[in-house]
Amino acid sequence: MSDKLKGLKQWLHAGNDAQHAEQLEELWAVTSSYKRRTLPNPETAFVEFSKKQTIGKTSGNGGVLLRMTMLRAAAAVLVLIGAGFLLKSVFFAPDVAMLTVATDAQTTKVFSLPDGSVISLNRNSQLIYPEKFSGDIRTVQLIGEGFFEVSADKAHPFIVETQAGKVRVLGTKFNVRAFPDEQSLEVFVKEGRVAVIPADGKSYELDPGAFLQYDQASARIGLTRKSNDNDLAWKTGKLSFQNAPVSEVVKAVERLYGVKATIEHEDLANCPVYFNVSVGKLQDVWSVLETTCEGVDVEITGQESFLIHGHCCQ
Amino acid sequence: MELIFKQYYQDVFLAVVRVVSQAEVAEDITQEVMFDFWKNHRRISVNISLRAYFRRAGVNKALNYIRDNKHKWNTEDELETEPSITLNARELMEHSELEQLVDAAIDSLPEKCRLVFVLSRFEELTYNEIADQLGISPKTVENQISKALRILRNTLQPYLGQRNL
Repeated sequence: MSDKLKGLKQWLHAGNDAQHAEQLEELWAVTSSYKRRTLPNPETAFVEFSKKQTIGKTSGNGGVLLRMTMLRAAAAVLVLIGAGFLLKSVFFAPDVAMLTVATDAQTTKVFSLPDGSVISLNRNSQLIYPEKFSGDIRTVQLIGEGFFEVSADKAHPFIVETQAGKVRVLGTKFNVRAFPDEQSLEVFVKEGRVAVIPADGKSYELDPGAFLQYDQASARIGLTRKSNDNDLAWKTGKLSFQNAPVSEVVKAVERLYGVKATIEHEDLANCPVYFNVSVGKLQDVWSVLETTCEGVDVEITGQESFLIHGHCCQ
Repeated sequence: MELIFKQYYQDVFLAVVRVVSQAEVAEDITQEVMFDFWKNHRRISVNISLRAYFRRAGVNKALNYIRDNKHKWNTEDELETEPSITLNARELMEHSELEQLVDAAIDSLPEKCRLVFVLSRFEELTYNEIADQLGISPKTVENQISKALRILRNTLQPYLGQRNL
């Protein structure tokens, strides 16, 4: 009998039962099946889950509920069909197990995939990938944010799947961000070209330096711009602002730390600042901002919200 | 999310259904656990394995449910007569029927007794931890465990003898 069964040990010590040790061990073994036969099918459960997400998001707006629900349902069906393909390729390839690498709120991780691609994973993120790539396509699932340095293999496209869409490449360096609570897919490219295929099914080609953000709720491209070094601050550990308005500092901080900051006066929002700071405690970034301009003061207004007082001093 | 959902749904469900005992309620709670995770993903820091995290979230939610729906616990429980289930030797031949029997035997324990048993057996909580979770004394936990074991042993007696380990 395994030493790990601390519960059973307790039973054995439960006073009047000591003399029935053998029976208790049997009882322990027999009861292991309790409720096992009531297990529901996760596929059906996921369809249910997708519906609930819809209701939660659109309940404030009865008018579009039906249309949205149908769209979501259609999307869910597509997702399921997609999953079917994935499962097939997993199940029919022998010896392929799915692996998960996850990070917590404090750490980032760098690791390589079986094909030699190197992945950097931001905080609170997960990457799910097969122990061994097989078939024509290299597919991984991302929840959260990661920087991908994909080893070139023209015969085997590399696909990053997220809840908001996917990114398809042959071999390049790029960043993907898709935190479930942000309802958004952001991609920017360091090297090479990538195709972003959001949940709307369209395809967008990105060149190096391009940044694209897709908004899942409106099913629209929300933003395209040039990417900058601060986009990768979670990985480089540096934020750098050269003649950037304070509003940009705030945006970068919000993105990086998952907080909300409001600038009290508009002239401060447009105020250009120059500073570099190492990414560590959020308080350090605020301190540097406060010292760049006298009279600027960052007030903590909640657990994850800040109010920035003061005026531009330029 | 989809992959995570499918990977852990059954684990969470099993942990939950063992606590609340009704499959329908357990499905709702499991969905809620997954929804919370999906919604708050970035604010949740997982320091244990994701599987352990999900199980714990499920059990906590299930216990909250029990707390909110605390019905006949306090007084009636002590007065309840001990259940009896008739065993049919033929039924024991079929594995799935044995599973049904185990389910029925555990389900028919008095509610508090069943809950204490489940937390001890499946979550492997200590008596003190169970006492904390349910707001009862460790002594009561011990008594309930003894009671559960006695009842289950009696109910499942014919089977226990035949089993080869």
